[in-house]
Amino acid sequence: MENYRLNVALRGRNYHLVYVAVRTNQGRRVFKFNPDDRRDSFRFGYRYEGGLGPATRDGEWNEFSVDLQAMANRLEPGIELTRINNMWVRVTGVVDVALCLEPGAPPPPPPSTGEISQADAVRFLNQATFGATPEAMASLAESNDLEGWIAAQWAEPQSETMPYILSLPNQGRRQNRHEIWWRNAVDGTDHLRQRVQFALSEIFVVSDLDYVIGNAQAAVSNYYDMLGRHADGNFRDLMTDVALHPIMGVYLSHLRNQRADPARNIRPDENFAREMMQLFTIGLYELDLDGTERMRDGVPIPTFTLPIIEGFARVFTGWNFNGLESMTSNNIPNDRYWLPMTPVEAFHDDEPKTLLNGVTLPGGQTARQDLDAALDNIFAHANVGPFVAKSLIQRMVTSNPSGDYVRRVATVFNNNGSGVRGDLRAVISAILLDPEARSREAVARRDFGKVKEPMLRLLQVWRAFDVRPSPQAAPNYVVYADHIGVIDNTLGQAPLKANSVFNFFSPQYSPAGSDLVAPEMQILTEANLAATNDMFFSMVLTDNTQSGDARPNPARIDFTEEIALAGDLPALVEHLDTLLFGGTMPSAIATAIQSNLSSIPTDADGRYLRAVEAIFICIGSPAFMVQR
Amino acid sequence: MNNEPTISDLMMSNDDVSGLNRRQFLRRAGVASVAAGVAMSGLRADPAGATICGPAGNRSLVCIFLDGGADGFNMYAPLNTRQSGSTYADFAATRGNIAPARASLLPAGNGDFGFNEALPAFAEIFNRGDMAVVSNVGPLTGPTTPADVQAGRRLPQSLFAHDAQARLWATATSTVGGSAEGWGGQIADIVGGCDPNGVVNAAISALGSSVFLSTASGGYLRLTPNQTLRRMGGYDQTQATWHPAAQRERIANALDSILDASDMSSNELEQLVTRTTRRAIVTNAELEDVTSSELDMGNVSGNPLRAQLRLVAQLINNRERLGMSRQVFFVTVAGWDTHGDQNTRLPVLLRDLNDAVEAFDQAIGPSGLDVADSVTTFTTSDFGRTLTSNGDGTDHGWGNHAFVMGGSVNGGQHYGDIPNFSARNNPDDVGTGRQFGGRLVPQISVGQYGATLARWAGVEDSQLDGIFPDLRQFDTRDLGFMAA
Repeated sequence: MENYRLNVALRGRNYHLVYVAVRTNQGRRVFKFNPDDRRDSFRFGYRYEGGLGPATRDGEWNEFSVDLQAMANRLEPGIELTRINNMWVRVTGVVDVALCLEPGAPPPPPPSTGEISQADAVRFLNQATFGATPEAMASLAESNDLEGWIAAQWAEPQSETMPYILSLPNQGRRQNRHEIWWRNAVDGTDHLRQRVQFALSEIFVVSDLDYVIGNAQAAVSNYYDMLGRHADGNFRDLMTDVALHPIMGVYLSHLRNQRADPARNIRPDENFAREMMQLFTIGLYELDLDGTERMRDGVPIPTFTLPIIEGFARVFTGWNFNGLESMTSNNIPNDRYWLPMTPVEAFHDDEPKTLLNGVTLPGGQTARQDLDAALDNIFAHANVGPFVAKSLIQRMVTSNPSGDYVRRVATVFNNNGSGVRGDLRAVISAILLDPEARSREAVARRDFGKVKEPMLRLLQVWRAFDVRPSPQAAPNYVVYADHIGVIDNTLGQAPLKANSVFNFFSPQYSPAGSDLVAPEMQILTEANLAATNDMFFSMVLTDNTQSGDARPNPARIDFTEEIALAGDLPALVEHLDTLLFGGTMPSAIATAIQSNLSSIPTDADGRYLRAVEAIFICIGSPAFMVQR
Repeated sequence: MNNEPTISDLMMSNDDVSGLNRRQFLRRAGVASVAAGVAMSGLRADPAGATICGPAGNRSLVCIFLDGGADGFNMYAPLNTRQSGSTYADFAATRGNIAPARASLLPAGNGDFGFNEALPAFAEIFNRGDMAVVSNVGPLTGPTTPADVQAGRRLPQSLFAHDAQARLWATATSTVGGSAEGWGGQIADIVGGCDPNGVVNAAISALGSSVFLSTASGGYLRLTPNQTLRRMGGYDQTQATWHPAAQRERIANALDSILDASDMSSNELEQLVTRTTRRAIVTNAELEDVTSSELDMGNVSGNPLRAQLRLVAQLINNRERLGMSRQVFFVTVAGWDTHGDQNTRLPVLLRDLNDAVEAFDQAIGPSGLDVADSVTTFTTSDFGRTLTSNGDGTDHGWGNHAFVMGGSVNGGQHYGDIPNFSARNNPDDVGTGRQFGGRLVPQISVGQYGATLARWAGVEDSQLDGIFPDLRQFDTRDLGFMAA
């Protein structure tokens, strides 16, 4: 039996806990140790508990070493540990060593070849677009030219949402904006721009759950289109357009924000000032170029203090709906919700203001002068490069990028090679063409990839199988969904409909028991997972173009090619491995499909069953929920 | 003694049970009967020597998280008090156009203080003796003065930032990068030991992920009221569906073997998804009937909090059937970050909160399930808001009022000192910047607040320091608002 051992050296006077999560031949187990005298026990069918003795909190250095395998055997004879999954130490004190020793090492990754296979193309497209289509996969593999593809993509016309909203008699309906979003995502040719635009919308968050914004859908679509225009532009220009968009002005309440009135104890609104820095550009703590938080005395160094927030709050005063003088009038023409805000100087705070990096703005400047100077001040902060690099990497490629990956992209943000800072086109290329995004060695890492948020999972399925509106859809139903309300509820997210400016999920979200961040897991709850699973179950088994039972309203996906292949299960599996997994399909899925579906006959009916069942098995599997 | 499997068995023992057996488990677990409570090591020893575990000791905690930083100072405000610096006149002068009109306040107790007019049910429950207000609570490393703040001494990390402060509230710590374990989840881990045959984890979120319930063992359930729980298509072949049995069996068998392999995937994200999938399969099968069971709490469609509290009431009503004497719930509603338009937005939020709490109070009260003595509901939020206005709203503060209600609450009063509300020379103000900010230093720590609730839920005093690391800095470990 191999040797699994826990070694810890710590010093503390306080209660402490050490957890070790392991895998065994009988399932998961968790070891939990505390500084008590208690005897080893086995609880809840999965937890081993042990006491390290009260002496371990005597304020002196204490070392202990536990043979985990032996302890497990005392409590459950015959059990064998097969790997260490994780460990945590919870203590107020000092830890010198906390190690779990595990025999053996992971197998080496397969080598790269340099050629872009169809599987490589799918991996790339799932990062750069809303999901690989068979056509894009084939043409990219044939051209063998990722840079050429990226350049061609930026030349494609932008799929806008606002013209559609303005063409409708009722511009206020949320479902129309969502509908055009989905339609563009499926039918647009600017695949790369849309993926980046969506990523930006999850950073520069506004939400139509806000009642004012919910009633201004044309303006929300204008905001979204604005983000798309900047997807390959300069980050500094994006900052200006975000800051002056009245939808952002409403959402973070700097629209009609007024100078201080000390006699009435009124201060300027700090909302936009804070979130522009914390969530959009620099974050709470100083970062090294590789995205690591900089520490002093064991705690991360804050990027700003309250007086700096108050300084920026005073910068963002005096801005009103375009062309309006009154700061209180309720008579606001529709277009003022999308035309850029304009200043009313009488309401602008023109005193000196403390900004970042020790900069003080002089008094007596106009609202626009202050705004430009303040945005320049933020843009010049050393955090912006690593902050934006990591944010976009997380939205497109991987949740836990290496410091080297972040540093390489941040370096391009800081200087695109021609001395330009903030060139997003260069940043996007750097993200997508980086060895960590492309190499098969990186794919094999335990922490590579990102959990697919529900909207992206649905789009990948729709695009892989050429979704079309149902020919029987009732005219009052929107084109791509059974019902937008249903799809919003099922997915638990919708474009520009997050619960707050903190987006659907936090970039720092780390599921219990893991040392990785997995932001999308925050909304992938048991309830959400069941709801989306059932949506795919119905979609694949029922609402496809070859089904005799398809419901009238939902969109249809097309399995023509898969049914044609289904007489030959290995061929079908290979096809699905490429199309859905970019060559990363776990062997267990291939085995499960072959061993469970080979008994189905190969006549026409049988081929249909083989195809839909194999496709659902793939889409329903945990591996499909991770983009690698 | 019935040895039906627990949800932990089902989740954790995936290698030793064939797929067929596991599905049999699922069916059997749906009708699991309740075992007698067993006192286990680590559980609270009752001073009188009586058994605490088991149905007689039923205790459910319900945390209402007001996401965004609720303006507690406008929920419970001075009315007739003459306490220097805290009178209505002081309050109104500082808050200006944000202060509720004096005549609108609903008197609480002797009328020194009053509830916001949008909270009539709060006033009623308080005056009935079943609600307490805990004044000026917030994350603290120990007793703290404004002088400490000016000097940067003993400050919790990243004050005034939403996510950071919400995290400190949820973990009862003072460093953001420290514990990832919520005090609700830690309480549940301890008192859940009362229910070795509970079919689901004692910690349940009615809306999505919750740091408050998260612990290293990670067992809490994440539900959503508008996503009805039903057996998962494909994975669970007992799902009611028209698809032929042979097809359902093929797919379920395939997915079973895939789950077993995914448990050991070389990719850790895939492992995490697999863990959630397994839990989803079991949760949906176990709770399908519970969440579709009858329980009238009025119209829940326009009020997300009411819908979540209905789900909580359904789970409380099924304590026995689920083998759970102890439960820790998390419900939440967003929108409390009232920087702008507060006088329009806050009343709507308060009204919805009031209606949801009122409906829940009735559902668990004598005319409903009649379990009010064993349910304690309490509020948390990111932070309190600035006393001062920014013209039409308020900004991020620190200390805040919290509200606790239930049949075991020593209610009808507030606990802790009401802070000073004056705009000049305010001894409670953080006082940063060139002018008075109206951000109040808390006088009661989240740890003290949580520890008082944890003791009621059955956590031993000696275990409190492990959950609330800063508690030992305070003399008062129990604020007294809970009956023993």
